[in-house]
Amino acid sequence: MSNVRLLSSDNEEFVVQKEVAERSVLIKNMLEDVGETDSAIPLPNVTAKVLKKVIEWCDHHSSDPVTTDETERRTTDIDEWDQKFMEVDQETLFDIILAANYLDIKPLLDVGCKTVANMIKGKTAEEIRKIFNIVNDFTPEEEAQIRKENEWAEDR
Amino acid sequence: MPSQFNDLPHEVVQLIFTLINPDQYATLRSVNTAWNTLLSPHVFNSVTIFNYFRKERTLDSILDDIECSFAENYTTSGIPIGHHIQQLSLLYDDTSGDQLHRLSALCPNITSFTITSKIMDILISTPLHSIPNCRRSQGLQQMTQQSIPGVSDARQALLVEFFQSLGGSKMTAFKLEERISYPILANIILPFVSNLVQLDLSSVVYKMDDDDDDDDDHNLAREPFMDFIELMDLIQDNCPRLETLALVKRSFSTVEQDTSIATMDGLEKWVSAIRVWPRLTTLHLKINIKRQQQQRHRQRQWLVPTLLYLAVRLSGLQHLQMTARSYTHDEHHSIFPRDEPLAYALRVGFVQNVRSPGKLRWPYFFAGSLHTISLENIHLGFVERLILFGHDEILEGMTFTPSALQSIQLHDCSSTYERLDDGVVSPDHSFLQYCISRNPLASLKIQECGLFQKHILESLASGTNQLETLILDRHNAIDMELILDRCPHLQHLGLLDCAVYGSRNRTASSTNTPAMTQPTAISSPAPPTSASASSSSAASASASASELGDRRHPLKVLDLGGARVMGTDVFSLVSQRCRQLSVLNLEDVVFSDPTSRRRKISASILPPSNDETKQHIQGPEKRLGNVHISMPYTNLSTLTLCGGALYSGNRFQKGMGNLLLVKDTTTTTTTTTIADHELHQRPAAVWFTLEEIMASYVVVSMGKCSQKEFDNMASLYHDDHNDGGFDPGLDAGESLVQNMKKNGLLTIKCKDIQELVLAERSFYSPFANCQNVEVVSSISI
Repeated sequence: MSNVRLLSSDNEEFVVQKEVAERSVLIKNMLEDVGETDSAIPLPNVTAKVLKKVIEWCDHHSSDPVTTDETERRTTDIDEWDQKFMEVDQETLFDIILAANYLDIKPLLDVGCKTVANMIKGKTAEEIRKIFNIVNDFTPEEEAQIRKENEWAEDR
Repeated sequence: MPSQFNDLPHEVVQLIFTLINPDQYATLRSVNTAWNTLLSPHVFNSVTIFNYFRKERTLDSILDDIECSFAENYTTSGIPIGHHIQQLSLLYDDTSGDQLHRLSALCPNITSFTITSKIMDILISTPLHSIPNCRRSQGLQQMTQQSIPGVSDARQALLVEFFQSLGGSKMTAFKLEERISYPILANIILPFVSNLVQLDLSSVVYKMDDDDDDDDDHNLAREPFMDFIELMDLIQDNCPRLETLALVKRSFSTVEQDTSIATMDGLEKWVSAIRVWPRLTTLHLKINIKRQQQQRHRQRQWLVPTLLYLAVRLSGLQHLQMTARSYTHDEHHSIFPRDEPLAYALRVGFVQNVRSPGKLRWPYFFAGSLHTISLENIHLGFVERLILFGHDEILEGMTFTPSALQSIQLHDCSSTYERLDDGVVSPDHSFLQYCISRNPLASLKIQECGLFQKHILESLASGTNQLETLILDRHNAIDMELILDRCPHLQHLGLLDCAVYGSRNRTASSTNTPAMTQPTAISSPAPPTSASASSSSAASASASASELGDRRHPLKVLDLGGARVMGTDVFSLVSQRCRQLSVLNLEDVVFSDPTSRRRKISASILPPSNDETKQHIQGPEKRLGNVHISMPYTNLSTLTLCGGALYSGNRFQKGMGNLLLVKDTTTTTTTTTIADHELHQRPAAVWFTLEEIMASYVVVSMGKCSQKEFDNMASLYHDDHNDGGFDPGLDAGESLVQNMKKNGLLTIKCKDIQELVLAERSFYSPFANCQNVEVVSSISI
């Protein structure tokens, strides 16, 4: 089994098995383009801390079958290991999602998004702003307008 | 800078939103402008405007809102919300012509439109001077081919303009509710909706019907009516892209008429005018019958040949849905088409080659090119066989016709199958066996049919099948394990009002319930050695238990609405084998103890605080038990419960009560949905953390606590408790606990539940009596 060297944005090098690294479609395509190479693949958008997490995930899921059925992947629940894996602070969670998006690891992106979706479910707007530290940038008039619109838009 | 939500790219945020229930979108759009921009298209994609629901909002004020969004300083989403609206149902009866014009101008992208024809009536009867822009319409007058009696040209032009602006090139679906006159439909609506893919006229009352009840005073009622054939012509000419057409036939006849032929002529005329063309492959036919009691049956007999006729004649048809309704109170009889209707059917070509009508020899096949067939309240008689069988003269029996059928849905269709069965069809030739095992049938839904129950189970037991959806009702012995084994592709299983067994417990139960059929006994290869059917099935079950034990099953949705669950091992079995199960419906489920001779109801939860009910509670208290459901491998995304399980056989039949659900701290966020909006102020389900369970002696559990912890908590419940009645002074959580202890308890233990739906039962709100329970999204103890 050949190994691949990955270089994080803060110049830390990770040596991983090729099949683990190829969970990332980005890396897979790069390797196909470049062919056999000894030089490390630079990943300028991913820090070492996050890359370590991502590699941990890829390693655990390296033997998963690749599901192409999007709806199936979306509707299945987060498995226990992934739930544990995602028990991180919010900053890391978003970093993982961003990395998964950049590296094109769809199953990891899904797990991250599901985790965020679960944080949103059933919450009020104010609660969500608080959780994610989002600034309410509506004017009071706009807020009143939205409330009025929702009065009839909500009734399905 | 640390990453936060705002750093996520739009496509990722969109992905997150797709994982959230769209019902929450309206709330979410008020988080900030970015979310509003992303979500507004979804929130306003489909809009329904009523006038009986939110009286405080007039249509004008809603139109004002939409118009506001066109203003330049409307910054919240950039795009006016009117542009988002693609599906609009306008059920606001007092709509004026003025408002319709505003609406069509404000919402230019409507593709699907539902309108009540009351609105049309109002438009037509509105004095012209109240319609400001009627002058503009004059140029359009030439476009209508003929003038409509009772409608002035100017008004007609106004309507034309409305449909022109609304329909345009974008509208692909149109549904018209209630009354309409043919000329309006033909001259004003159809010519301007040329891109329609779906046309739904099934709620329409045409003025051409023998309308003997109420609308004589209406100014359109006396119009000369258009012929139905002409209407079909118009539809075909004007809507070349039409794929789905829904039509209604109302049959009213008076006592004096010779009904059988007179009405039949009407129906025959109607049916023979129906046609399909290459694009039109889906037909929904509604047949409404209003007549005297003694005549009704005759009428319904005609429906069978009608069905046959349509299926044979309309060879391009792929999806046929037929619904019959009677206005008089209904009853089910086994109606066998008699010689008279059959002879008639022969004469008019409904059926061919019926050699001897009384003997029912049917050499012609029914299914043809149909992919799906959906029948409601149609007397099947023998149609269920004709769907799939032809008659083979040589074998004197039924032979199977390979057909394209993939989905059969029968609702409220009574049948004479049992009677026909005598000596005609041998069990291994039964309808469903063919249908299930030899056809690529993916979906089978049979409800309210009283239809050959035995055969369904036999057929299911006889071999594996391709079914992905199976909905059955009122079977008195469903073997869950057998179903899982025989339907290896099943994803959606509904066992409504059925008695459901997990097979391992069945030995005890079946001896006590001799009436129940044991489907496995029939299919079991082992010869039944004793009279006890259960011994052979138990043997086959145990023989296969080891190999089946770990076999995974793809089931995702399990609906046990109204079912009688004979032992909670059903749930262990499902949890063990169906690891993908995510939706579980336990509405109105009754739990019975299969080992008890008397059907003991072991879980019931009564409303606590109502004085009258409280009295009653004292009595049956002793009979209450607990039900513990353990689904250790199951992650539920949605669990649906109603207030409580039913007692059967005593005066507490309608009793509902509290539910108390507890989750431990490790499970994910849970939302609670309660069907009735009035209950929103008073949700009655409480989510506790594991610590809170310990502190407050609550017994329900889910999540990762160990079996021992679970049992300990459950046993707390069994402790005799001082029955001091309901004490409003108690902490709400404790009050609930007290009530639970008094009233019985249902505990469900699974890995996680993301959404709990507490369904509202008809006329009895399970939580209406929880006066003192004001809690509840969080309780601090």
